[in-house]
Amino acid sequence: MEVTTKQLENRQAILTAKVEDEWLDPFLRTASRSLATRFEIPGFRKGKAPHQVVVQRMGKEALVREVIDDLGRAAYDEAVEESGLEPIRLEDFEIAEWAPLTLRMTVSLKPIIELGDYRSQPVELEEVEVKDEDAEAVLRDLQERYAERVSVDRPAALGDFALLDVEGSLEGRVVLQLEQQEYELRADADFPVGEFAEKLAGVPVGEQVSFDLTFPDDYEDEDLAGHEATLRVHLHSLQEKVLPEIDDELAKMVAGFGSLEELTEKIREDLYLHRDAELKDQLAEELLGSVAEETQVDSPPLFVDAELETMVRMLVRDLQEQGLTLEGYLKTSGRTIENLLDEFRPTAEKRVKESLVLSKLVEVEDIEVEDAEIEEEVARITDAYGQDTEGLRDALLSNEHVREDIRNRLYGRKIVERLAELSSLPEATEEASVAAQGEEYQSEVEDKPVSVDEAASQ
Amino acid sequence: MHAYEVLKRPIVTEKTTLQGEQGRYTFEVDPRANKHEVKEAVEKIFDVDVVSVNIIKVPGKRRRYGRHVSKPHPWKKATVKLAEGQSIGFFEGV
Repeated sequence: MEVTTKQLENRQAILTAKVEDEWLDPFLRTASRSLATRFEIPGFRKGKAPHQVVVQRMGKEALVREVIDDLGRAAYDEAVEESGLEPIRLEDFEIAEWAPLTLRMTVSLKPIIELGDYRSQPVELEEVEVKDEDAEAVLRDLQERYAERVSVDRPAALGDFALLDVEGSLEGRVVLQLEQQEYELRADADFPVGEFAEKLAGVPVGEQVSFDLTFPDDYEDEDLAGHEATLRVHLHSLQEKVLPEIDDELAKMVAGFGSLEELTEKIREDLYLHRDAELKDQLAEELLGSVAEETQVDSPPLFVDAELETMVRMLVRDLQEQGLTLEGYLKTSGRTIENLLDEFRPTAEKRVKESLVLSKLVEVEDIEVEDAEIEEEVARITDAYGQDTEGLRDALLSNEHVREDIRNRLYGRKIVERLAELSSLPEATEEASVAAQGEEYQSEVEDKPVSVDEAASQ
Repeated sequence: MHAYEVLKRPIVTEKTTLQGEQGRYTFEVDPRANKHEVKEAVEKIFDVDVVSVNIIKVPGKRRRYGRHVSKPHPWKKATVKLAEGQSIGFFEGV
């Protein structure tokens, strides 16, 4: 097989393979056997015609088409081998010429990523702090969450839950009618307006009251905005919120902890981990962004194309949730799909670049993330949703995208840790180490431009 | 008669393909041709030595297409045996 290689820009290459007859022959023989069984050739029973007869009758092209899948795969493998390239995907395959049979294959090559001097970027990793009041705030949230409601017979007060009938009229016209509506009397409630709750305060259970209420000018219902309406309210019943004491009992209720002390300890620990992770995620994001700016990336279009596809798919999904279609959306916004892709492109390019940079950093810094760490992180996230989260955890763990996402996040955190460690080294040694490491890494780049195939899947 | 008038076409079927392996080849020939003429024609065109010639007259059949009845088309078939080790490649250049 005679293979010529032509490199295109964008890390793509065209392999042209001229195929010899001896190479082709076994494929043609397979093809004629399978064609003969399907087609009647005069003078022969099905499947009995010899190879030459089939070739003469069907033509070489038909035979090649019959086995193009196998033939193409074999030719691709061999052409890749002879070219010495390391393509990551076959993009296009065509028959350039029939005699001699010549195949033209367009392939994508691994991206080349040349990181800038990322090590000289100072990364400062602060120790996160969890104060007593932070833990207390969480405890108060828990208190709210485990609050019980108790029916009471007394005048309404803010903080109560009421069961109401409401009828609102404006100049004799009924504009609002609600029956058996549950309503939490909160001063900051937005329905219908804040004062509603205040007006109800002090009304005894079973009473019917009526009062005037002025709707603000910016009220969403234009008929009511700026007008004064008369509301008649019938208060059926009242429930009071009873908060549990913050004590060992609560701790037991929340997560089976033996004592309040244990619960508080756990909360502090969770908060610490959460904030630490958040901080590192944020630093990692900033770091990636700035490293990406100084990085030269030469990658085939497939990465950006895949990202664009994902973005469009997400858009379609969001639209579907609102009961819209992509076509309808494009029409109302007066755009074409091309406009949309052009709009998405810069974001897609940025994402791809950052993800390639991340993979390169991971490789250069030799960072690893074990499956166990991913499981741990997922457990940490799901723990926040309370008890009995195994189902959720398993669902997340079995989702390839989620795993990938978490893996990347862990990579980011570890890189931040690594760079922070480097930055914190004493000045002199730091320079020495950066120089040494930098050199070693430079040479690595020169002889082995490397990439990440998984970036395509994101 | 010229050699190319004598031999009209080779008969390629399962049977004749098998016979070809034993140096026997079958042709449709001009109905007026005799064994000598067939032998000469094959020797001339394919540059081989013919050992024997068998000739069969194939009777044509009347075919009915509704009211119409077609004329019979009888033809003549000749099988030649070549000298030991010789062969004819009908499919050369494929």
